[in-house]
Amino acid sequence: MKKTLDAEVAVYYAQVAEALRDLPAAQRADLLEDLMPHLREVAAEGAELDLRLGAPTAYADELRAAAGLPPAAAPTSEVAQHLRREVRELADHAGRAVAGLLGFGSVERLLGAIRPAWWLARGYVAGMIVTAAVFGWHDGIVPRAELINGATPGGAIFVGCVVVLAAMVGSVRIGRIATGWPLERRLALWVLDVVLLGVALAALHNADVAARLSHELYGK
Amino acid sequence: MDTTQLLKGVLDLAVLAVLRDEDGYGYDILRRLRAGGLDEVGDASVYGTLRRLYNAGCLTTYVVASEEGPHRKYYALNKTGSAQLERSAKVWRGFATAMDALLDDTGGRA
Repeated sequence: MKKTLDAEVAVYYAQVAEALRDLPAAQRADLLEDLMPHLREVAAEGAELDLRLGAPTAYADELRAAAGLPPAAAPTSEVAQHLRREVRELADHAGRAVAGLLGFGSVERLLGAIRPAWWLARGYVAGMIVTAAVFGWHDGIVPRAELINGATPGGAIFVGCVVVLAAMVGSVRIGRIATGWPLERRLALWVLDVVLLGVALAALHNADVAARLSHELYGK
Repeated sequence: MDTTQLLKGVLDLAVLAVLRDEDGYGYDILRRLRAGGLDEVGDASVYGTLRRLYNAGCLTTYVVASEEGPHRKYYALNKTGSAQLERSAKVWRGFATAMDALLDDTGGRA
């Protein structure tokens, strides 16, 4: 008798626990903490658990509602799960192929290898934006300054180059230490990265148009 | 009228009320509510409410070893819980008085 009671309790408990699986571990443990002694008491009174308490899933729903937690998310359909898996596998495959083509064993290694290059490029773009903001915008790969008051253009170029180099050094340093940053700071850095990438692409496009124009005007 | 719908709104108050005079463990609290006339209260609703009140800082817990069975976790009202009980009781009494008056005026005696 004792044995079957324990088995009934264990089965009911497991089913409630399963129905709460989507909750964060702490919240789930919180809700389940009193369940085992409760089920034992009910079972000890000689009641069948399903009859007395209803279905385990319904019990779990009531428990989470009374605790003020949102209802369980509808389980995603099998088709959607399958599709998601396929897409992920395909992406994995493509990533490995590209990494292999470049002579790297995995996407992670490839990304790890090109990261410092990205840090340098990011610093360069940031430095160019700063010098452009101070000296005025010019299409070109070296900071230029023809309009600055009093200073010779050569001096301004020197200052500009120092600024850009300093930005590149700073960017690499930030890249090295950013892995230890809290999430919100890293998120802010990623947003900044995307903005810088956008500016860089826009500037490249600009330079390309300017080059074509000058070719059409003077090249013939 | 469906009692379970009514219970949803006042279960917090009912649980706080049965803990006013004496601490209790989960199943004990459930028994007190049922003995008090709320026999339709669901087991899971009571346990869920206890967790919510505990997380809201209205209750404290302590474990008591028992000789015959497993250890039991007792719930007790703290200061916040007592204040909450007092506030909610006032609201409930006002509400119940208003409902009584409404039912008397319209002759809706059961």
